[in-house]
Amino acid sequence: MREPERSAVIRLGDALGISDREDQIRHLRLAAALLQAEEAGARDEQARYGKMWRSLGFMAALLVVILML
Amino acid sequence: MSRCPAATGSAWREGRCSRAAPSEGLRDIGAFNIRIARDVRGAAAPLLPHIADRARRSVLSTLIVAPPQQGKTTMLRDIIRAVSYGDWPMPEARNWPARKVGVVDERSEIAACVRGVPVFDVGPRTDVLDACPKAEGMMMLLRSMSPELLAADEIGRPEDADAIREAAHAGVPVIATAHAGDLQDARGRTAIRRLLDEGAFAAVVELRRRGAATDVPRRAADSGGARADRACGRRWSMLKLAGAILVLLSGTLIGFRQAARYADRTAQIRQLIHALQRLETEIGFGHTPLPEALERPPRARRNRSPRCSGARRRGCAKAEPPSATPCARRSTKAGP
Repeated sequence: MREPERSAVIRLGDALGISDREDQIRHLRLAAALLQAEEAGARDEQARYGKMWRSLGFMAALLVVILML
Repeated sequence: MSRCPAATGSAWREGRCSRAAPSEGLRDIGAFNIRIARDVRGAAAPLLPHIADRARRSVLSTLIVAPPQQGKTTMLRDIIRAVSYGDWPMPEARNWPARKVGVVDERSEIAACVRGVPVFDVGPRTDVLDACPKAEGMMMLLRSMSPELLAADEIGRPEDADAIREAAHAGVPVIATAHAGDLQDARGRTAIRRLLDEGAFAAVVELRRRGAATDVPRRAADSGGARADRACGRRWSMLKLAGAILVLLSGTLIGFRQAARYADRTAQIRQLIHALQRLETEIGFGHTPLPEALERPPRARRNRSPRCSGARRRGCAKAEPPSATPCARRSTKAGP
């Protein structure tokens, strides 16, 4: 869990249980919306960096091997 | 050129393991192979009766063939010495004269001359042409030194064959050695086959080591040392290969783990959203009191990550109906 989603959950924890039902539901929706935005960002990052890391790891290993031989 | 006095001692020759580029000489030297030449006096005694030319009271033109390490050069050296001293081992040859011997020692292996002085005893009537190309050396000796026997080590080039043919026509016997497993092998080399076909050699001697080395395969073209070296090299390269594969594997694994962290984060957030939706349903439609809603069996909230539920539980709130009691507040300083 990274900073943005952590803060969203903490904020929800602060608000949870201090008011009536509708208010609670609003808070829950707010948190869900925040998290949804985060999820979209995370998905984007995953697509972008996931592949990069995979090939980077392999390439770095290849480089080390070539340097060693 | 020097007529040599007797001298004894030891000599060694070395081989180098390196790249041999014709234009640059030897490069990238990785190992030395030091071969200590052995001087075995009397090594030729059993052989001489077989190659003796009784009519001319000398020796026959002889080709000595053997794989490396079998004693070709040692044998040649002892024949030279015996002939040069007139040290004939046969009883009928007691009064044969000693002969003048011309030796072309191209690789300095027979006499091992150091500053013109041979390290090995090659006899008192021996002319050594040190470090001289065999073909020219033989012609020079023939022309100027009136040898009664010519000796050369490791013949094989066409020029060597021409020179030996020349000597044969001049009536001078030649003793030469050649690398080959046996006579059959030697015939596979063009220059030597032609010499044999022309009858330049009256005798061919195959040398084979006695004792420990007899069971060395007949065709083994190299010594056990070289074999061991090669095996060692193979093991070493296997080790390198294994290391390379390990590094490659670990690098790839690290990359995949990093990539998996991104995927994990997405999944985590999705689960969190799902959990919140469930909670919303519980509150909005089920009117479940908050503690109860949060502690619903996993069936209801199976997707919530344990961390969040822990935090929520501490927020011991009663979200349900109308009022939130003051006591319901607080301690939601959740956050791991």
